[in-house]
Amino acid sequence: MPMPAETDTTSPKYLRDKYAIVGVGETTYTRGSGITTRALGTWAVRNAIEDAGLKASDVDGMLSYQSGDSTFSTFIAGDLGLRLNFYMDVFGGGSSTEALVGMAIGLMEAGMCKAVVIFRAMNGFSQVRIGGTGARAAAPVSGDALHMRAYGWQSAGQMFAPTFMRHMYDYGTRPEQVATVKAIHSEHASNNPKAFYKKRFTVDEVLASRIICKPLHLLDCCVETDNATAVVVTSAERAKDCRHPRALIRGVVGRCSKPRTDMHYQTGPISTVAGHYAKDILWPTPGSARRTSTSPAPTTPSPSPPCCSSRITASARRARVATTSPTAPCGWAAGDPTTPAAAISARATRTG
Amino acid sequence: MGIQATYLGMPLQLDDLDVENLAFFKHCAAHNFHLQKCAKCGLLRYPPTTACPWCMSPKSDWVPVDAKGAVHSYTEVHHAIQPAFKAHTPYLILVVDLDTQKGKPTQHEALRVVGNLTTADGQLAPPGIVRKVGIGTRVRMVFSDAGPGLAIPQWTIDEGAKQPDKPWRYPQE
Repeated sequence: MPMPAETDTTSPKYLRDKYAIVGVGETTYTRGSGITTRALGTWAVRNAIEDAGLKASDVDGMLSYQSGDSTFSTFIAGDLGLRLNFYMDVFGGGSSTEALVGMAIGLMEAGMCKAVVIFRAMNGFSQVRIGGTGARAAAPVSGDALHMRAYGWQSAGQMFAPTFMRHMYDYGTRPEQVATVKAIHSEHASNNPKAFYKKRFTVDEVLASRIICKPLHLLDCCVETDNATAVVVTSAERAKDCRHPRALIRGVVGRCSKPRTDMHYQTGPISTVAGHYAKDILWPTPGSARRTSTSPAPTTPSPSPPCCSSRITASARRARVATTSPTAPCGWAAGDPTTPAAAISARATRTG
Repeated sequence: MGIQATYLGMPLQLDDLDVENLAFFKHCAAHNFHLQKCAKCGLLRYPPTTACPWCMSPKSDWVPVDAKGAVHSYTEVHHAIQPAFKAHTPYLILVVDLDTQKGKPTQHEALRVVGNLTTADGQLAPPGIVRKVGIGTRVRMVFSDAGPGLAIPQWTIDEGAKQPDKPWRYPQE
């Protein structure tokens, strides 16, 4: 495919189309897997390697991320008989999957690995809930958390709610526009036989569901499930020998942040989120390269809605396809604030 | 030993190694609001940190700060997650722009200090007051005592200030 004219191919970030995702592995999305995260991860990694048409001996790198809620690469590799040339389990959440895809590319570019499998395994409903319910919610409030959890401010939804609200105040973003994100996600889910919830919701139904923390309604919040997923990344050349057509990686960004990641609301407009900075990495152009190098803080914030953030909701986490998508994942941010539904659902299809 | 206290039934802890937070909350316990002022660039910062997030200098002095400002943004929590807050919904979490240092170091920055909306005596505000507050509401700091040596900074409506005619509230109400 020809490159856009404005693409800066001199950028050191330019590894476009040199690596590919060749296998995807999943477990069933449940509420109550009945097995350990080690078993979930083993299934997902095995499924991904099989999906790629590779053997255990073909995979020599493993990456994963977690927040003290999962197993480690060493166990999964051991259980499947993989001998690794590199493995790393990193701490955190957010856009870690994308970050690890980038790391996998770096590992292979450095000659350290030939094929890297990335997994995430969690009993996100039956064991550790992202929202922090159960034991985590009742845990003592220590140290820096006194500036947050002491105010009943701890879940992702609660942490980013003021960002949404200020975006509404600054740009006139309407509740129905925010609700459109869920409506479109539910449309995608209705087309996905693996989805835990397949029911479609309208914008009105989202707005009619009960408020969790303004502006987020019940249906705006993520669905917590038990499951594991894995992908295999290898070079575009090696990918030619794999089972499926290559999904070439055109650009990647993950764990990009705005200044003061820990207290994001302390710097810049609070409605300018990580996506504002991520776009210049994902679509490097001469113009954006100059902007990045000379002006870290924009003086005129672009009206990118919070849905572009890499950290808003788990449903956004699962829906993000920027690493392999040839089009912008969020056309709303690209300049038309009036038609988010059309932008987000541009490639949605339904045949039945 | 550090400091241990209980607030709304929640155990709060600060250990001896956490020197910046210990200093911050020691002032709060005396119902004084102090922040670190960078010895190099002169900017105040919140919350407490070891180095200046604007110039990286590790040197700072604790100085008293006039704790008044306007609500920059907020959320109104109807479904509490932490057990301590279940009996207090809906409660407001406020992100407040202090008047002090507003617009520095750039026009988009301010000292944004978090707190709940409380009554003047530091009790979480009842629903009737929660409904009155939005972006632009003028607030002043009060403290919720959590025990010996520890109090939590909070925000209450500044009765003496000129209030906006209609603070911005979430539209779907």
